[in-house]
Amino acid sequence: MIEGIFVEGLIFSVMVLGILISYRILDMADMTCDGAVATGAAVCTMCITGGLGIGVGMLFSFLAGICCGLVTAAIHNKLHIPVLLAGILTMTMLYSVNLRILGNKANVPLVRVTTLYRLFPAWFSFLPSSYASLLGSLICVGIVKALMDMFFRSDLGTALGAMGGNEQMVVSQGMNPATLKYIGLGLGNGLIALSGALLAQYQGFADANLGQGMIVQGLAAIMLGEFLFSTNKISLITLRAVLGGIIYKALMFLGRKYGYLIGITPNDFRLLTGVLVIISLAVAKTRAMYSNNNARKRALKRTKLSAPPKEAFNE
Amino acid sequence: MSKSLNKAQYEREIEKLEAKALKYESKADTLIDNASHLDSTTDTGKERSSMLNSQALEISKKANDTREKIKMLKRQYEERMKGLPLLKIEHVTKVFAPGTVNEKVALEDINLTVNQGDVICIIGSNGSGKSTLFNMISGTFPVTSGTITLAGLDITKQPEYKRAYDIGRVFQDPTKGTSANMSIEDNMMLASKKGMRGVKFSLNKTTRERFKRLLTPIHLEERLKDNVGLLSGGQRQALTLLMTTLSKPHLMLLDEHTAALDPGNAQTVMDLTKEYIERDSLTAMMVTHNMQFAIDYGNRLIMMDKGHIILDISGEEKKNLTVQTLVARFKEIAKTEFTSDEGLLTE
Repeated sequence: MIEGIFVEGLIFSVMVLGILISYRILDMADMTCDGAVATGAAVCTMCITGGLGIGVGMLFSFLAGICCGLVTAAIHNKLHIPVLLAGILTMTMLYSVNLRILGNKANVPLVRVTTLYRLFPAWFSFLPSSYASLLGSLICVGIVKALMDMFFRSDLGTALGAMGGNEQMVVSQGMNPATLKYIGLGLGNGLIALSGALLAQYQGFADANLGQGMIVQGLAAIMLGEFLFSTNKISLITLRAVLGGIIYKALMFLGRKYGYLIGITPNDFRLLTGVLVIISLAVAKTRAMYSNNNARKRALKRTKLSAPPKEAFNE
Repeated sequence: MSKSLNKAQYEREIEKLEAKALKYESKADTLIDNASHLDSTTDTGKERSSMLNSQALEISKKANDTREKIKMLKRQYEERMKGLPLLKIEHVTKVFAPGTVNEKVALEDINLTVNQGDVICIIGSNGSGKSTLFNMISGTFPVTSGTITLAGLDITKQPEYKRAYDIGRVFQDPTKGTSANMSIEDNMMLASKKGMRGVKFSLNKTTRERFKRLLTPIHLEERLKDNVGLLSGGQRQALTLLMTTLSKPHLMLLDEHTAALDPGNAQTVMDLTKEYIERDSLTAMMVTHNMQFAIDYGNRLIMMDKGHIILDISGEEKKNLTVQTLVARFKEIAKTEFTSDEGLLTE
């Protein structure tokens, strides 16, 4: 049972990583996510049922996700409308596109075909099948996380981070912010679609409504993760996003299992997720102030120990 | 290679060509080395070694060609730069909200020539067009009419990020030049090279050492990994200044960059400014509200009023300037008394 939560959480955390790029690193409220998850699932499912294989399916869904992000970025860059509205536009259009990809069906099952989650038990036959799925997911997420960490430590990745903090600075360094937005939103939605592809294979079908409400769930996961520890290292930022994703899924599982005791049904989950986000925001606000002060004090202490303080720079 | 390159592009081109020449040379060396190891007593050995040698000759010729090309490019560039003013502003006019009731002429028919090595202080009351002039030069807003030429290139229609290759700008707001949620080293890495990045990793031990050395004068060398958001305003502005000079821009625009700091920090940052300008012999334009400072520092003084340049003093004349004569000249030209704005031009 517990391993099921972890598998769900890990698949979900790939999407959380995608949302992390747009929301936290680029500081852009990108709503494309809801559409891109379903697009990823749909593309992967159609590739697998069409006989192209799992690898090609995953690759194509990643590319499809990148295209979704590029569309949002293009609307935002060319028409100079807020990225929030651009994302909502793309998301709305994607609903129809996804139905088209699925051949005008609301959902397509993955029956009598090999999927990643049927391969894992075969590959890791020394483990019980549910644990094999867990190991497989862990490897997938590990690869995605490692690649993402590496990318954001590179020069281009750092530039993306700088744009989230201060767009003027990026301009002053001779980089076109529009190009960076294409790259950032493209990558983020690529990951989101990849998560959709994994999810479709795990649950055994693709659904046009798969992505509904995903964005808020992803945000809740990011915020839960941020409660764990504060850091400015990208590897730890991604780690806490993954952990946040797993914790969120675990909370939802507990809600499903024991919620009836206090009268909570699955119908209430969206409300609860929203409330969770609001509470997180409120707590994070006070916490950020507190931790900022602490970090400042620590830094001061350290500089005082190692170098004589300069009078001109009294803080 | 007669296309017009800006400074950063030119430097990049030279770098690329030099790397190419080096590659050719080392390749030729290894070929000659291989040939010398061959057994020259046998026929096949002789044949092979002569073949390798001729190959090496060909490649070293290519290397020479590349070196020639570098020389030519350098000569061309220097020729173009020689005698050219660094910045030439011709008939620049900027009208905000034209055709509406809010129409405001911020700059009117501005002509200005900035020579290589000039350090210009710009004074003028609020609304006189100093910041608009800087915005026009750096390309934040397009000009309404007129042309701007930088180092012989017409940059009037270039977007801001492209002009930033050659123009470094420090804003009044200390938060504008750095990214708060990133570490000092990341910020410096970004500033060390202009232009679009690839997926490369230029932050390594040697660059860290270099950054540490550079940060020592502003006492931040122990805080490479701290977020910039934790720094005080003065430290942040000093860092911004350091970062701006890292890429050695053609032209520095300093837009009241000490105005948001307390007197002590302002003094430190201003001292740093002088130091960097001197060290890299930069060309700089500096907006200040301090008349005495504008008189003491730099080789040129420009006074703006209501969108016009009303005074442009340089050389000997500037050396003999005092605040009293400056105020008197202002009254004479503008034919108005200082109003409440006078307070902004402190001695």
